[in-house]
Amino acid sequence: MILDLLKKFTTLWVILFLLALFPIFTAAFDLPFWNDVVMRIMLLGMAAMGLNIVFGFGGMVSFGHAAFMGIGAYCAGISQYYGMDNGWYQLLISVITCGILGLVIGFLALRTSGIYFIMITLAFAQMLYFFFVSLEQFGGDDGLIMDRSDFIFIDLYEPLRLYYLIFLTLVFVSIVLMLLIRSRFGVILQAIKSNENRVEAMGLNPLKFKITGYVISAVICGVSGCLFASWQEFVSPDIMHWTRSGDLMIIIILGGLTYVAGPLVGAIVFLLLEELLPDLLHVVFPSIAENWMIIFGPLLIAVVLFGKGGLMGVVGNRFTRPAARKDQ
Amino acid sequence: MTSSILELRSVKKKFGALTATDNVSLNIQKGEIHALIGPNGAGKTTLISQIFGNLTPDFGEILLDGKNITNTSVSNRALLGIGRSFQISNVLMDFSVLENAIVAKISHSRKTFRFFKPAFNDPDLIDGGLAILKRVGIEHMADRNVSDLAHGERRLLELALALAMQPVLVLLDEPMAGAGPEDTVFMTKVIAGLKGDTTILLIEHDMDVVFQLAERISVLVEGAVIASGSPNEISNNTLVREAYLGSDE
Repeated sequence: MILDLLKKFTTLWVILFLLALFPIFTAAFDLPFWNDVVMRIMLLGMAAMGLNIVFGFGGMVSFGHAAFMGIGAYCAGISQYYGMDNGWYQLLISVITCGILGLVIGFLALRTSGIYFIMITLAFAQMLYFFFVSLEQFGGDDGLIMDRSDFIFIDLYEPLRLYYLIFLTLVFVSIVLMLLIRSRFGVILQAIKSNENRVEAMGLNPLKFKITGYVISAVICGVSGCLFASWQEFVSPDIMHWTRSGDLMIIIILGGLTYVAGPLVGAIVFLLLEELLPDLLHVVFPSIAENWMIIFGPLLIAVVLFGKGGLMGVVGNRFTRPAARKDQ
Repeated sequence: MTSSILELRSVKKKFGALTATDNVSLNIQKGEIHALIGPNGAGKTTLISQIFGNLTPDFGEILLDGKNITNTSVSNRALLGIGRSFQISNVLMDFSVLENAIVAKISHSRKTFRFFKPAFNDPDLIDGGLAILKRVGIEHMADRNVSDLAHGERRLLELALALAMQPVLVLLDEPMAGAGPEDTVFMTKVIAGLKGDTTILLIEHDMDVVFQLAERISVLVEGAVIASGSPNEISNNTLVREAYLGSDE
């Protein structure tokens, strides 16, 4: 079965392999700043992979998943505020809180579909955003400064410990997704996206599967948020701003929403462009360097319009149905 | 009366001022092929949708095997043993033919919340899926993409999916619609072959097919059943001739 996963998800494994070796590269060329960039890529990539369970595989356009990242981050921040530094407990609290919240929001929001679903998920996310803005005790709008969590055996202040903690979590999430997508549950979820009426006529209650998918994706976003807090050493409502929900969706579409590796590819390209494009423009067209988004926006639109399967689709096999692809 | 599998008791459904189903009482006997005919807009699909649960009647009761299912959800009715093919092909377009059958097989196995083992190369599910396809004789198309299938082939797949749950009652909404003459002959043969295995309620416009297959026919006009009986009785019924066969053909 391991061999099967290696064969079916080549791109994802190659990316994970490169991410594992990346710190060697930064050490050799003395570019420690880039470790930081790549950690951010992995965290947002992980959240986008979580969102993609409902977005790409379940066909549910949730416009509020940054909220779960925020909840995960605040679980870490508030725990620490009350003196509980243990990162493992913080992760557990994030998972449980996001799971319960995902269940409640999913239960209510998934009664709607299409544009109403988009709006109701956005509404819930905004509610949570303003809830934390108004929580003066935890810094409100200004946020909450925190230390990196204490993961007992792993001292996150040692060089590269945080990098590899994030990396291993990403590997874990990737394996869960690879299994999930091809499992009975994953197949039914994709069938619901393809034709909900037929799935219902087959005697399956779509709502049950959609809610379960929604909870799993919320939990993954929560884990990402919890680690994000340690990476940023700071938690504020900004992490759950609606534009981040939008970023996550763009990352998925950019990378390819019917691929497990799509969101990770999207996160790499999206965040690298964000990092490099201003510098690049500074060299080529210094006059518009500050307005680098003039280039960034159309570039994203071009990929979405012309590469219908996202970047993964451009690279290959976009015409094959998902299950038959060499590289899912 | 004792052997009726489906019973409708004064079922009514209104859309605004339009009475789509007007006090319909109907008995479908176990094992028969029962055809529901009527001119366009008579409310045939509306009636089938109420039997399947996509629509809920305003008044009246629907009983499956003596059990009141008027307010049961679609998926639960499917589990209780009703299968349906839709007027417009309704299959999983991004999947292969076999994968469509495998999803049905997963549902039939009731083991749906499994998160780790891959489904599409599970030998039990593949065997089950192939058996589903075999029932309508399309196992040779197993590996083809549904999006590449011809219309008639898709209708056959849909029939296979409707039968996948081993239903006690199958609702076929114009299974021949849009199919070529060859497909129609093949489909008729397949449906005839199901006689005895299950009960079939068939909506069909092709009268040759109806009179070949049906043991009993009910005629629906403007939401109401105006006649019910054997093909002979129906073709000799003056009311039916007037309302339907005479004016329409």
